[in-house]
Amino acid sequence: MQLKYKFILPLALLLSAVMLYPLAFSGWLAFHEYRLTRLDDVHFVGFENFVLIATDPSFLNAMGNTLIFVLGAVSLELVIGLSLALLLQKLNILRNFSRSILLAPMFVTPIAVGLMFRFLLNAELGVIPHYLSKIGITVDWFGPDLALFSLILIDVWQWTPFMLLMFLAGLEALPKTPYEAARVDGAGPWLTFSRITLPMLRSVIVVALIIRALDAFKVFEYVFAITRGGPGNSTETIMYYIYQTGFRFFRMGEAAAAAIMLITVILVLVVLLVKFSQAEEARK
Amino acid sequence: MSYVRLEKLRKSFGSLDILHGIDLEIARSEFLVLLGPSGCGKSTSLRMLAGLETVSSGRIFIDGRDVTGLEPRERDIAMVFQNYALYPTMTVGQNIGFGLKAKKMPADQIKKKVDEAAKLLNLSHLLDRKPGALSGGQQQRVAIGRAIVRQPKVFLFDEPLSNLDAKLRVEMRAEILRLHNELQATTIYVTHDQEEAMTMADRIVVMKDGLIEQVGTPEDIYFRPATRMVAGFIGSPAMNFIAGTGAGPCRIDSALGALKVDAAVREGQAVEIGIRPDNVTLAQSGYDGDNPVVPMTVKLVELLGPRAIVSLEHASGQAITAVVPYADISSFRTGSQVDIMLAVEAMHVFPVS
Repeated sequence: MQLKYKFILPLALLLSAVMLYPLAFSGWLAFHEYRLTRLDDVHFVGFENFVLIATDPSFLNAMGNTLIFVLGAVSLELVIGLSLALLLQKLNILRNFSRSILLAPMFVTPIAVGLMFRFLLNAELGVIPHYLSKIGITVDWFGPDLALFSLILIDVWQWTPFMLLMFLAGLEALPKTPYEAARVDGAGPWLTFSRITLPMLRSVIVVALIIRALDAFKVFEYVFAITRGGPGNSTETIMYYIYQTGFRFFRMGEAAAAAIMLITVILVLVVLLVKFSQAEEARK
Repeated sequence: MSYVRLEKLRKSFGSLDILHGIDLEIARSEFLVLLGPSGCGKSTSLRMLAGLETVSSGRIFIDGRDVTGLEPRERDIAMVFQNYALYPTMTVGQNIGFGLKAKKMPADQIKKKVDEAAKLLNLSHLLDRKPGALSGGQQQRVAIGRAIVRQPKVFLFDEPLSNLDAKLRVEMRAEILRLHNELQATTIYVTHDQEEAMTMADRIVVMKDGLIEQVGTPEDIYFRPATRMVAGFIGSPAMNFIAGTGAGPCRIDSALGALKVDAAVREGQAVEIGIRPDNVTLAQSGYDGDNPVVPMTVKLVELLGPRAIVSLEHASGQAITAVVPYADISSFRTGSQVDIMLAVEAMHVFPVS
């Protein structure tokens, strides 16, 4: 065996064990009736699991919730992250201090963030509802109407710093001279931002969007720690649905089918985003 | 009457003084070149004039108006940068029209003006390209287009040709001059390239260490340098300098012997005599004028085509460079002895401080 293959072998084995095998196994699972409670009755069912999942109102509800969550969270993170990055770039005092503070939420484990907000926003015990009620505002953060929105806010709290970090790095890498030319040309702040900064930052924005959207699709911890999908199924996301199907109801076949459908949706979205950004790149 | 005026302009970064108080007046339609070695403050002066750099003290007037504290856009200037500073995501047409768009000019008028500028600069076929798809020369033409389309009061050029190759530089030089003659716009042009300065300028300002050494026409600067620095900086190959001491009203003792000069010198005064390589010639036999004739050893001959640069050395160790025509080149063989003549009327005497 050539030396290069010897070098690559350990990693290839490791990846096969922890990624390739589970992936292949879940692909196999998706086409079988496989219940952890009835392991003596595992048999091939073809596309039955996919049909079952695709026609399950809970699955469609979970998919809808997840899409709303991803769109809401990622677009808020984009807007807030970009605004903060523009402000921070101009900040001269306490530069490093403010950057570190703003990045801190990213370093907290999501499950801890979930628990933290569960208490912070709790209608009876929570600090935030307590002070809101003092100024006459009562909000039921985890009621049927607002629960998904609250989860979005929590995600925004935790992951806007990531966007901020990406955009700060992007902004600081931009060439300075076009800005001087724009000052001489007489462009105001809005024209400078919309016609110079934003287009130059496009590739960074696309990358940040892809990373964050992929991550947001996998939202699980907040749901698990706070709402358990409720009230009703108003915050049931796709990951929580898969978890319930597989590990609560032990229907591994259907869970695997749902996971494969999720992967397909995400792949399509990523391919579209990349195609879109490449088309823009080609126009340059 | 002056159109642009700098009054005791100073700039310091912290405790470091970049400009030590510059006074300068520029006439309407004049092509003024700021020339000097890197770090002399010429670019800083231009950027202060543009409003991109704050003024530590002093004042700037454009067309009679004090613009010292104004934003660049309120000064009615246009600037061409060394690295072009085009907007990378816009097309050539959008780049040229951006300043007009910022002025909120209607789109059809912008298009008309952009087309005019593009035609003037031979860019019409490139209007839909992005800057990344253009050559350096084309990019710089776009940058110039962006400047002229706004018809500003003053054009500022910050070493616009230094990123281009030698051939393109000569072409663009001619193009900028043609534009200047056509538009008659007041132009301030920064460069460290003396050839650019000599060929383009109505007047040259030679700067060093944040101070103006001399202001004058290219002829003044070349033939009548006011200081030792200007004399040494202008001209290629550089002027020869011979150290000496005053030995009478018009006499200097130097390594080349006693030289008669056309300048008043105090006895005992330390001076340097400067003479351009073009004024060092082969001594004609039987000549007995005032011009000193000095025996030299030929060290090196560099042929440039019609002329050659000859490095000579005197018995005292004093080196002299001469530029000789091709016709005389047979007299200068490496290692041979020649008699050369230094033209008295071409000698400059600079006191040594």
